[in-house]
Amino acid sequence: MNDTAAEFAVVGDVEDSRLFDEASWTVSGRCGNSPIRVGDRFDFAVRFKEPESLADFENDPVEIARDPVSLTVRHIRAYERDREFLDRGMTGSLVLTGAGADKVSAGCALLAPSSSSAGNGARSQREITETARSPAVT
Amino acid sequence: MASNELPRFLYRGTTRGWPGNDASREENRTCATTDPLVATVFAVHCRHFGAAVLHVFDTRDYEIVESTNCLANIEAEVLVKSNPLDFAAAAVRTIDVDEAIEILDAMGFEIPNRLPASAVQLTRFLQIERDRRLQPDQIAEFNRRCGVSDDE
Repeated sequence: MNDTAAEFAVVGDVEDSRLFDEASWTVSGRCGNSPIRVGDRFDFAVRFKEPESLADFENDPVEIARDPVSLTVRHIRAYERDREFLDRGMTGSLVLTGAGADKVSAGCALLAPSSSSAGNGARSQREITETARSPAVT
Repeated sequence: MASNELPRFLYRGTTRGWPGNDASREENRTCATTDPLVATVFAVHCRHFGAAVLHVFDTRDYEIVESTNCLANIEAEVLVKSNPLDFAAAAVRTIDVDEAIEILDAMGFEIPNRLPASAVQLTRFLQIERDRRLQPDQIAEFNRRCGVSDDE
């Protein structure tokens, strides 16, 4: 798994959102090691093999499916605030629009390559550097 | 969580000297948990980023806010009105992640000894193993084993 790719670990069920006129969905979970911004697009929904023992958590999860999606982050909410971005390690809810929401479920991860995760602008060198040393503890 | 339901101690698994992300600093809040097992899992993840530790805090020293964030129930999360560095400096006890794991193991609670740097496995463990949590008497035992007491 690429540490610099935008990554969102989905925890809750996917729910219909009424935030926009077009079809939209709310997903809850945790941002990975790169910030997720309004406007970012996820390209894949990855599902993983269920762990069979504690040791299975100690390595990267085993992918069992990587479905292409085209889901754009339209809205972010975390800690009772609407936000322009979800920082590394933060938990929050994303409202997504686009195609492939049926491929998203609790336990999967949404992925975007780092090139598209810049979303509304190029990522700064400082941000790239900090990505490498940022824990999920906020 | 009403103030009369707050336990005496809170826990935070982190990296020694981690200042928190931008939002935590700007909003002057720090995430903590009422469950030392959850905090230890975060500390395990933090091995990738420096000296991973578990801080223990006295709730009487802080303004505590109930977290309504989306994973608050899974992580037994509470928010403290303090920035992460000031909060860490006021811990009543700080132990190395390996000591926290040993204490949990001795109490019959196994957790992964390491986690990938990606937040996916951390998140999946806390979700899938959401029943693996300490009860109040077990938290008291954890406190005793790591050297903090309700009598302090």
